[in-house]
Amino acid sequence: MSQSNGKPIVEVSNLDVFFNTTQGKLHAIRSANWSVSQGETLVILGESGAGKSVSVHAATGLLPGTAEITGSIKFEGEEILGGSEETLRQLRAEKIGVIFQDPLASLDPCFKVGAQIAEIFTVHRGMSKSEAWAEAVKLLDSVQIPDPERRANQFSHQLSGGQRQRVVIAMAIALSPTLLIADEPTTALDASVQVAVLELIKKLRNERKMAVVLITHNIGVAASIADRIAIMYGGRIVEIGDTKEVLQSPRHPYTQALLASMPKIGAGASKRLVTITGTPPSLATIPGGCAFHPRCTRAIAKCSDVVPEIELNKNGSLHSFACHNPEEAN
Amino acid sequence: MTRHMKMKNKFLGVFLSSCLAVSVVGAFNAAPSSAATTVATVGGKCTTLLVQDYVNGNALVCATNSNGTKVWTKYFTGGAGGTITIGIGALPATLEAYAASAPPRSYVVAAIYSGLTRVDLSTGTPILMPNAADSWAQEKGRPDVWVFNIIKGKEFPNGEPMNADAVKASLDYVMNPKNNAGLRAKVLDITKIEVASEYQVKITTSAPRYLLPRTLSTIPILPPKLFAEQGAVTFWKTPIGTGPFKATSFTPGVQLTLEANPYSLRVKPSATKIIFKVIPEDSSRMAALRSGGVDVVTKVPTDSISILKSANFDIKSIVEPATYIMSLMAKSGALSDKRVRQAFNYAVDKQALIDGINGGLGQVAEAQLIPKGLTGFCNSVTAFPYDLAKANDLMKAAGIPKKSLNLTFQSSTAYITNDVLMAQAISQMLEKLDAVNSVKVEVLEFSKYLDVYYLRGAIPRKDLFAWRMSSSPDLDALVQMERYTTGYPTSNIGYSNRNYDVAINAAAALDVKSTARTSRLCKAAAILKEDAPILWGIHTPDIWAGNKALERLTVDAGGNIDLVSIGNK
Amino acid sequence: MIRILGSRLLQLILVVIGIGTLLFFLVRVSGDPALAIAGSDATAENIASIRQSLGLDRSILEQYLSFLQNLCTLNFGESYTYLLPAMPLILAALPNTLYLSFVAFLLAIVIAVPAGIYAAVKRNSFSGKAVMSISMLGQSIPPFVIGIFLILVFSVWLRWLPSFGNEAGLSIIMPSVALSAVLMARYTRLIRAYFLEELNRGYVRTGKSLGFTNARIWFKHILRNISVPMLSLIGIDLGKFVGGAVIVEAVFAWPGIGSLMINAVKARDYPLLEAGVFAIAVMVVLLNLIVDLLYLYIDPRIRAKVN
Ligand SMILES: Nc1ncnc2c1ncn2[C@@H]1O[C@H](COP(=O)(O)OP(=O)(O)OP(=O)(O)O)[C@@H](O)[C@H]1O
Ligand SMILES: [Mg+2]
Repeated sequence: MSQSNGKPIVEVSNLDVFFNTTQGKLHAIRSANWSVSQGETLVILGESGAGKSVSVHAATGLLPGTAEITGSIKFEGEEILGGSEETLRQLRAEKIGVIFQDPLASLDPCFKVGAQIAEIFTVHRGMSKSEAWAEAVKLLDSVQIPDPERRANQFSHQLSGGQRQRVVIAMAIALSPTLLIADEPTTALDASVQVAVLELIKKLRNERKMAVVLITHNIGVAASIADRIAIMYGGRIVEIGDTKEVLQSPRHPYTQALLASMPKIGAGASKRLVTITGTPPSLATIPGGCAFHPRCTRAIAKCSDVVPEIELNKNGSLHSFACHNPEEAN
Repeated sequence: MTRHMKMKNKFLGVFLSSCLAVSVVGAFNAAPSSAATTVATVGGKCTTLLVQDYVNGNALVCATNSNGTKVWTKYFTGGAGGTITIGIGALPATLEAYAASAPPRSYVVAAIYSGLTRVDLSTGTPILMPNAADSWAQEKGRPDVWVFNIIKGKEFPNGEPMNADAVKASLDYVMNPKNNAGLRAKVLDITKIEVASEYQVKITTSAPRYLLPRTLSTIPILPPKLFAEQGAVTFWKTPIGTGPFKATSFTPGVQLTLEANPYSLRVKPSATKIIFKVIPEDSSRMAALRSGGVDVVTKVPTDSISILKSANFDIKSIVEPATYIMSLMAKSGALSDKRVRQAFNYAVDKQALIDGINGGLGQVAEAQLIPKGLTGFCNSVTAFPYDLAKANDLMKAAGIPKKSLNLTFQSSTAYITNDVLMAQAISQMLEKLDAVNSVKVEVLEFSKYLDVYYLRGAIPRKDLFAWRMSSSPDLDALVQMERYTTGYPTSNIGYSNRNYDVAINAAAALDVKSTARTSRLCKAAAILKEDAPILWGIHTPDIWAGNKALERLTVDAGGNIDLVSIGNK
Repeated sequence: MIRILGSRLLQLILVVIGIGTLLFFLVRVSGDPALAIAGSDATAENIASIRQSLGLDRSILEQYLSFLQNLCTLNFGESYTYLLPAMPLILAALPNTLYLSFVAFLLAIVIAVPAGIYAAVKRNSFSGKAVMSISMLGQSIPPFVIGIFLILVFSVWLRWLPSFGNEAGLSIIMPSVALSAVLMARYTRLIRAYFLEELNRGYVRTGKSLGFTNARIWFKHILRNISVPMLSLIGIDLGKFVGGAVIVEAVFAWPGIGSLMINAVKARDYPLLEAGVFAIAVMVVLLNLIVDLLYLYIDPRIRAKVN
């Protein structure tokens, strides 16, 4: 684990995201609060559609134009919500690195990977073509791609999945961002490569003192890299806290169910996964009260009427959850 | 400008006195601008024509108008007219001199080369003028021999003399079947060409040929040595001649540039340069005129006339020396009865064709093969009036049951002015006849149309076949009337009348000027009208347009623009 | 590389022989050139002797064999109408046609690329929709009508541009606009559609996340990616383009091979027709070869397959 007491890089408070769609206005993120500090890693866990990607991309400005964002997002103390497209672009250029889920799709099929990395240096660092190329090769080396000169001259379709993901990582960290967002960076990779890529991210985080927000479905991944974990359900953060506490003593029934259902890195086939009964709600039909209550084994009457508020820093505790009838702490 | 005008006025007086000096008095429609005008007369008087001033390169043409006063029709001076650009639908593909005699080749050839004579049509009737020959006459007692006296002291641009040898060599070339000259058809009856002296040629024909001097106007005289050395194909690429112009550049299908020829036998043209630009699309060509890109355009479509007029352009509409007629297939069936053929003639409203389709231009054809004004025209043979009742009566008399005739009308497309529209209109008119059930228009693409015309292709001639009977270059009725004599190769519509044959053969043996000839031709014309192997239509208009800054934009009755006179104001 | 050249060469030979043969029989079925050559004053004897001198009195098989021989030796003989060797006539006119086609094509691309991108980016706004409507219009008006319209406005009314020929430098403007209009409109629509598709691609998202400007992402990355499907369409369009050029050349009296070919068809000028078709076939095959090579350059996946 890294230091988690550096200066805050992103502070998200009371974030609400709506999408204007043909079916009407969809409320995708509901009063989300989270933050991440320099050198710290926040992992966001949740079922598909929970709002993980939307909540992080609200901070990068990469949400489509149909998105309506309210609340506050501070980057290194400065409010960026309502800022111009240009300031967000500058921010992405200099301060934020993003790794996307599908490494093949993230690369331009028509350019050599070396050229794509070099482009970052020519555009943002004003380097000459040859300087930028040399820098790109160095960077490929630093993300542990063997024979980087040769690889730099290849196109993405000529690389393996793991190599592509490394290239994507290289591009994300090329300008030493203060925040690295990794949206399911290892999903498409096989287990051994997953570990290696994750180790790489860890190593780079430590070397470069980046804040990292990582989205994953894998508890093993979360356990191995996270300082803190946030659990999302139906557009809300239902539980957030130190890795150890959340994993070992989940208070929200959903967290517990989720942990039981998730694969663990290196886990053998012996351990059977428990599935959560019912399906996650669609945005248009999120149940009233606690969104999880129809699926919840511990639901009480109140759960269907009153939305449980998440109480942050209650009693100085860094572990918070939103539940009327939480699990016992162990 | 003003100074120039003053000069003009000053010279007007000088001009007047020189006119008086040769006792040619009359109105004139253009002022001279040269003081040194000496007027020489050919034949001494100006009753029929003509005065030309060779000395200064000025030309004067004088003709007697209808009320007997003498009229100056032209006066111009070399080199004052600047550059004239003519937008033309199509140019001849080569500058070949012996290929054909119809416009536009006729005026391009006449610009570059000289024949023995020149036909002036500016007064409406053909007047024969000297060209390479100064004078000509039939030998005494030998109407089959013509003697031509060649102009003296002139040479071709390469230094070869213009003389009797050159004339003989040129005519020999055309007559030699090996050379495939298109104009050979015009001189098939020449049997002998003798060089009588350096400047005299005697030409013998198989029978008396009164129109020979006229015909020879279309056959240029070329420098014999150079032509033989180079061979025809090479010579046509950069031809030289003694016409008023020389071709200074020629891009086939694109452009032809003519400039004044210092070796011109007779006249210096008014313009220094005449450029023909090929613009095949009608609407593009009209736009080129309106945009000032060209000064003159040919073949103005009738629907453009009003636009051009309102944009203040000059429209020159002449009646082509050609007739839109339909051959009627008289071989068999209902059309073999002359009453049916007459009925067709009564059923077509010719004036409606002119007004409705040709913008009021053109002229109803009398029931003859040439327009008024040309030799051999008969005042007594007139058009069939439009009379539908009479037409129906004739059909009834011929015993044709109601709604029994289904006819086919073969027409060209975009070859004769408004051809398809005309075919459709005429078909509708014929369908009004009680006995006619339907008339189907069969539009033939040009090459197919030619095949049908020459009776060579797989498609036979149908009931009605529309074509354009041209009278150039002879501008006389005889050649056209011969087409309906028994056994004429390309007629083949099954028409034959001995009396007609006799009258035509008799006329062919007589002098053009003789009244006996005219009366024979009139007799033949009357027979032809009565037999009606033809459905007579109209004389199609040939419409040109030019901008108002031009002087002397004239197009003669042969469809030839007067390139020598035209100039800028 | 050599394989591509080889297969294109083979294609060229097949296309030329195929089209040539088709044309050979089509024109010979359509009628007799001797009639057109002889002119209105000619006699039957005259026509017969012309046929003989052109070798048209021989059997059709004999004529076909000598035609094939001509193809092999690239000697098409003399034009019946112009009395000049046919190939030089075509070659003299070819640069004009190439010039017109090239400028028109360039124009189509130069306008269609920004217009298509604009229409894609502003797809929800009025101006974006206006671009689409205009392109719809441009695609449905025939080049002939556009040509006449341009002439009326810019030559007759404003008097800015010459309406015919190719003498002034400005002469190229209207013919190339008229020729490119359909293509311009078509490409605008296609580029918009492809562009919208590409906007959802991962590399676009990546570019944004790297803080690249929209212009860079659109013009460098998306354009490069859509040029692959565009190129294959361009390859197909080339043939049609020749057809359009013939019409536009007629409207503007442009001295190219289109005008020449129209006359050749009218006059049944076999040598000229054959030489012209040969030149056009070579041109189209060569252009397709260029398209192939561009493919190789633009799309590394294809390049990888070839190597
Ligand atoms: N552009 C958009 N327009 C409308 N709805 C959207 C849009 N983007 C996301 N959503 C909706 O917002 C919700 C959250 O989406 P998000 O992508 O954040 O899910 P996620 O938690 O990242 O899921 P996954 O694990 O599948 O990536 C989903 O219901 C999704 O359908
Ligand atoms: Mg996601």
